[in-house]
Amino acid sequence: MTIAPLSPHLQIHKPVLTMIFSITHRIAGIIFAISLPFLAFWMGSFYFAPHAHAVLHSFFNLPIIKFVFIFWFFALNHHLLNGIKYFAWTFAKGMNLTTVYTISYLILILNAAMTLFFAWSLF
Amino acid sequence: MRGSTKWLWQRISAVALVPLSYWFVITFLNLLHASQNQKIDLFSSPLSKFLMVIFFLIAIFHARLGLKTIYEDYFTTSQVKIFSLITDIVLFLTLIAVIPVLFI
Repeated sequence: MTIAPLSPHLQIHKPVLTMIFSITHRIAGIIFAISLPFLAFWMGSFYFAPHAHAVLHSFFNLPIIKFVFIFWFFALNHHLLNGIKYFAWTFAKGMNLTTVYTISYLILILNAAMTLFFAWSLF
Repeated sequence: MRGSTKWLWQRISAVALVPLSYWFVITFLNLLHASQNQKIDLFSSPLSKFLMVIFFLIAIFHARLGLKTIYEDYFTTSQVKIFSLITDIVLFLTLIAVIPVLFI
């Protein structure tokens, strides 16, 4: 393994929009990654451990857990929508600063609307 | 794997995950509200089984690349090795856990 330089400490930077979206993109990715084993076990246990599945199913349907799932969806959707922005950057598209700011705010608005719809479908 | 190869695969898997993730969220909502019999119906189609396993396979691959990139950015080489090992074990178990879906 090569020795790569570490990123500078996050707290020495003045917060700017692009930086906040980059950090939240990573945090959202981590949140969804952590949820993956639980979701996989929930799906798979239906076949190999029906009792565990029933317990987990009731747990996921608790109102407080459903509330957690709203944040889970918000994080996933932020990562997805912002990821599309980064994919465009791969081809050097939409890198003009005004475009970057407009798209970033649109991501937030669209995500808020989609999360509201998700919450409505959830309850 | 070279850094540029990882970078390329991160993007290829991301493109596949955009439609797959939204399909997964819809299936997740259906499953959450489904009864025992409705769940069997949901998984009885070969397409659902296939998409579910493919989603987890690509999501695990994408998460593995992404998490390791984050470790490499913020942690020392020895810490990266430990965290990567833990990640690999957990993601391997995740894959094992979802395989039974194919037999529903």
